[in-house]
Amino acid sequence: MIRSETIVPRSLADALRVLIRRDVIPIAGGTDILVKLHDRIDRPWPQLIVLDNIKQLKKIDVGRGHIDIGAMATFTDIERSKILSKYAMPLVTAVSLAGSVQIRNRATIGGNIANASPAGDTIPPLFVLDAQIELRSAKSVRLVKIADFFNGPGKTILKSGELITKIRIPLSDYPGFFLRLGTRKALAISKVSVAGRFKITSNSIAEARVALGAVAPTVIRAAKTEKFLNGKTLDEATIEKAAEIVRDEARPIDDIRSSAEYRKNMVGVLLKRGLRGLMNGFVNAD
Amino acid sequence: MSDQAENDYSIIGKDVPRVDVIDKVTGRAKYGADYFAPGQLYGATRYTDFPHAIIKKVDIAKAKSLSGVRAILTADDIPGRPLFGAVIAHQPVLCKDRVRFYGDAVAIVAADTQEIAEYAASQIEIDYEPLPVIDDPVAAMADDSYRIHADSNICTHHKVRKGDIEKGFAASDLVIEREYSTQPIEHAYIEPEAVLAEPGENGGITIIGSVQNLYNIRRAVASVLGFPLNRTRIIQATLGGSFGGKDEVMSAICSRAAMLALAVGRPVKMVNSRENSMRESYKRHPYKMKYKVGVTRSGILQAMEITIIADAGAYAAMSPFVTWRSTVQATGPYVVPNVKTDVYAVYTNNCYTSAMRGFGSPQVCFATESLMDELAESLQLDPLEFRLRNILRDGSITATGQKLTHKVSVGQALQAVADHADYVEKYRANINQTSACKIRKGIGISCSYRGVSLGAEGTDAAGVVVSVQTDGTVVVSCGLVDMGQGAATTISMVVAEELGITTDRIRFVNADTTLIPDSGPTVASRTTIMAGNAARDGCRKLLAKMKPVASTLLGCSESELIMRNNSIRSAPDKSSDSKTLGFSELARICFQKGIPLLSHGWYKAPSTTWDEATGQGDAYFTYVYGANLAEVEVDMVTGQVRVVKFVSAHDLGRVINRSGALGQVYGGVAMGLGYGLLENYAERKGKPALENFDEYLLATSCDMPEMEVIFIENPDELGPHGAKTLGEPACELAAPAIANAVANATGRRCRHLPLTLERVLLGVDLNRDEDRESAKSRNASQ
Amino acid sequence: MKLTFKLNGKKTLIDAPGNMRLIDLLRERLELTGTKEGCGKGECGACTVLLDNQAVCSCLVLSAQIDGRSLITIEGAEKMKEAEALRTAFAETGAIQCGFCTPGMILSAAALLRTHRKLSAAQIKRHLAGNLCRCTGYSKIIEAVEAAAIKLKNGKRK
Repeated sequence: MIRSETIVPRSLADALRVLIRRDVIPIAGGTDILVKLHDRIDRPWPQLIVLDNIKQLKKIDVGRGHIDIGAMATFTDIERSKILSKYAMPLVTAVSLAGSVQIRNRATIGGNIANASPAGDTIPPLFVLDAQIELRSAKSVRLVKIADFFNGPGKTILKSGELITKIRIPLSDYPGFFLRLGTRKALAISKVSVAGRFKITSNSIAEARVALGAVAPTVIRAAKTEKFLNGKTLDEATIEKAAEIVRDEARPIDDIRSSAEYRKNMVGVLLKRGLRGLMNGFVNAD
Repeated sequence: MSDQAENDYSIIGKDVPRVDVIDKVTGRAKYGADYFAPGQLYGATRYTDFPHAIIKKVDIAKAKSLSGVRAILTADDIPGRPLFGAVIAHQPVLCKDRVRFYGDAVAIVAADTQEIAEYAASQIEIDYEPLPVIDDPVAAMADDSYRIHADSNICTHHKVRKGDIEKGFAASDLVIEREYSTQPIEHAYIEPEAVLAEPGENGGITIIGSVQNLYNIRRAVASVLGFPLNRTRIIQATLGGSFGGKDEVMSAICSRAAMLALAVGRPVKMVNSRENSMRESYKRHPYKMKYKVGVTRSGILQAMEITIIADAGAYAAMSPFVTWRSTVQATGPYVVPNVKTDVYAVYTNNCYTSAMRGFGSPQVCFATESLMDELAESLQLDPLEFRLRNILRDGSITATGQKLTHKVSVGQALQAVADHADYVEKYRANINQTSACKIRKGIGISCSYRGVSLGAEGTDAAGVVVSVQTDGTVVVSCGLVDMGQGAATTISMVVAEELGITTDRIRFVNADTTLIPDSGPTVASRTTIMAGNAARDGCRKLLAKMKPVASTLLGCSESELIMRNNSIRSAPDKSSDSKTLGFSELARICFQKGIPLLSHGWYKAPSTTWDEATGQGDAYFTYVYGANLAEVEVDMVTGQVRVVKFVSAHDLGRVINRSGALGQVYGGVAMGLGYGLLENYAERKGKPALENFDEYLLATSCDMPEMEVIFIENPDELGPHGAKTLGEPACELAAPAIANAVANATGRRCRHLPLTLERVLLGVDLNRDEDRESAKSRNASQ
Repeated sequence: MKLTFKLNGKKTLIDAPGNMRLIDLLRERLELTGTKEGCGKGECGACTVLLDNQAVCSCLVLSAQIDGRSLITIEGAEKMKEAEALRTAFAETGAIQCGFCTPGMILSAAALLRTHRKLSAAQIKRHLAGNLCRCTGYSKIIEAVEAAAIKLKNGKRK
């Protein structure tokens, strides 16, 4: 048999019960998994569990001091969310630049995280937004920091039977940005991306967050750059120096999408553009 | 033949909706994959695992035992000749003992479902002995290189010898040498290859599908099956784009589907995935081009020495013809008294290359037009002025010694685009942009001349069948096909104009090899001129029979008849004594009188001459001319190029369908923009580094600039109503115009396509050291 | 699995594998071949259909995911006034060459026109970036969408 029956649970509890009992692959929007299955059409399809009908996984809610984004919230849902535009602009920018309308209508934030691509567009913003991910199984629930979730390209700490159920972002309206560079204007996988968020008090940086996409096996925080930026006044000299530091922090490779040398340079360029935007009062300069 | 004044036309030159739009907006148009036959099976192809290897053993036992598998065939099962190829018949339908590129097929499967067929194909066990992979055409030319075929790796060598280049260089004040290169690209028709083969009733085979050149393909299929041509029927389905691409690859796919259908006695459908399409379909040739050129201080070209090496890939396909066009056009549209050109097509283990929109011109246009800008810079002339000093004019002699006897309008086209965008002023201003400027502007021009139709490549003739029904409606069919470019509409318009009827009365029927005579291939932008002339011929033969009847009925002489808008009048004005007769009534009366209302129009192109030894002769019976202008903004920090404005001017003789003509230009520019900036079918050691549209980047709606089109109409006496050619000229000039604009902006010249961000910024190509296989296995583990 | 959904305005029941791709369900089982497959990877948009009025690539949706939902394909475009207006505009403007991308292009644009009637060319371009066209250079497609938007805004029905 090449095809096996698909499971369509009506509730989260049902879904978790199935997940713990059987070897099934949960499918969120499907925009990554179906592409992979398409690549391997000559092998039997695994059994799939479809999460579309679990309403609670699609909600975007404000709680005490945080926002909870359901794992099945689509990029379009996030793009249109007023609350996220206020508190999570780098994420909103990232999803609005990702893929095409058709992809954004299907792709989910949970799926993008689970796919664990170093070029995954929602991940650098989630790093700088200090996001936590709720991982739930029929037996347990845990909340982990996004940075602790990834082990490598496509590799995560997700245990069998566990599902990403929500993404929790602390409420804060510090300014931030997300910038990416692709070969083509639209619909191109990022050669490199940079997200940043900064707590700024009287023109000096109290707390910096910088995350880099597509320059290492996973998305990474630029710790040295952040350390350098903390306490500095946001001026042209600081920006130039930060760009230099971030270039060295990036560990990109040569591949079909770009060269390592180019990627290193561009990480610096994007950080500069983001910081200049902040300096000039544009949140999310793109 | 342009015997009508422009304002006399009722149809020609107007904006006529395509004849096929209703089917296409409702989803009713049927493409190859949309045909289903009762009892149909699904076919799949097993490709080689190595780009170059000896096949030691093929074991189908395991695959054959799978439930739902109906047939597995290998080279041993080929009933007729195992090799095909329109020029050199050496391409295997299925490889028996050796594979030469990564898209070569070893076995085919027919099964109950697509999944089973593909799974079974993957379970066929093949033992190989890998051979060295020859992926560099320059290295492949060496005498001691491993040979891809029995003879030398040099597939073709064309030359031009005109004047004496040494004298020319001696007379020059400046001699420069430059090397340019272009990349292989995909046709990237959005419809992947698809066919349905059905065993016919009289022991024949009928194939319907996405075929561009029905007659080439029929010859190949008949030969593979060992069938006569009249038992091999090819019907063209609505084509989802082709651009030169659905020819040899379709010969292979049609032959395979036919073999399977005959083996199981049931219809077999074969539809390529995008991955398989990219893997096995031929590409546009990558070229390496060396130019040495001499010019006087006053900017007059004296000599050109040109050496071009084209990567033919594993099989010849159309390489001998593609490189021949490059040979004829290699100097660009300039008067060059002394020319020595050598163009080679060389076999490698890369994906084979063949016809693609442009057919050997986009590469040489990129080289010559970059070169003209470089020369102008060296001479401190503006590139427009420098070109105009050397441009072909009325009566000029081309590099092949041909005297141009028609209106030569390349200077006119160039001036038109330059004037339209204030080229000279902007070019100068852009050079003086400060280095502090992060986004710099650039402007660039390019121009070309292009031989119309096949030229000295081969037999150049085409047929059209025009059949008037008893109710006055008309059925038209033609051996040259509509692959999306709008041929059906253009030919219908020519017929409508000729018969004095409206296009809604005409139904264009896709070609069917059993009904329409061999009209050669739908290539070389030859459809409007060849089929248009054939359609006129067919209509005139009909009118010769219908007009006497009309003149008797209306009581006037034949010369007094005015046929227009579905009716026939006896006098030009609407005076009271003017009688009218409906075209439908005339058709009915002719039928009653036993007059046959079916005619077969035929047109044979004027002959051309070519001396292979010297490369001298009248290579094409006429030429078209065009010029492009691009304005860009270059991000000096990222290397990102944005094309902001584009102007195209083309002398196409006469516009038949304005809307269709505009569509050809817009689409040509988009394809040329992709060639210039985005597209690259990258291969590494004979294996493709990409396989789908996620990495093979076409221009999207967001990449397209504001586009303006200037049509220049110098009617050519050889074209229908003076019309010539547009499809290919529209796409050959964008990349060099963009490259020149980028150089104008950055002050650095990129001599290699495409102008990726990395190349514009760092001047280097992407390092493709990452093995695709390791990337894939990494992905698979995710 | 048994699927119930609204297809072009009509309640439809079908028994099909839940992990069959929507495009295969449409083309192979329901014989609606107006939906085209160009890449199978969500890159070209030729297979675009409207799922609850949102444009999606039917090659990236499973049959199990459409249960209980509403679907519009090019064959049922007359059920939606935006799509119907676009059909006419595409035909009149000359926005079609080979036509293979046309069904997806029309449905993508229809989803846009459903929510936006005042549109800039840049908005249209951005919205249609997921629908590749190799023939037209997009110029006349943008023109057609603009024309349809104006017609809808003026409330004229053709």
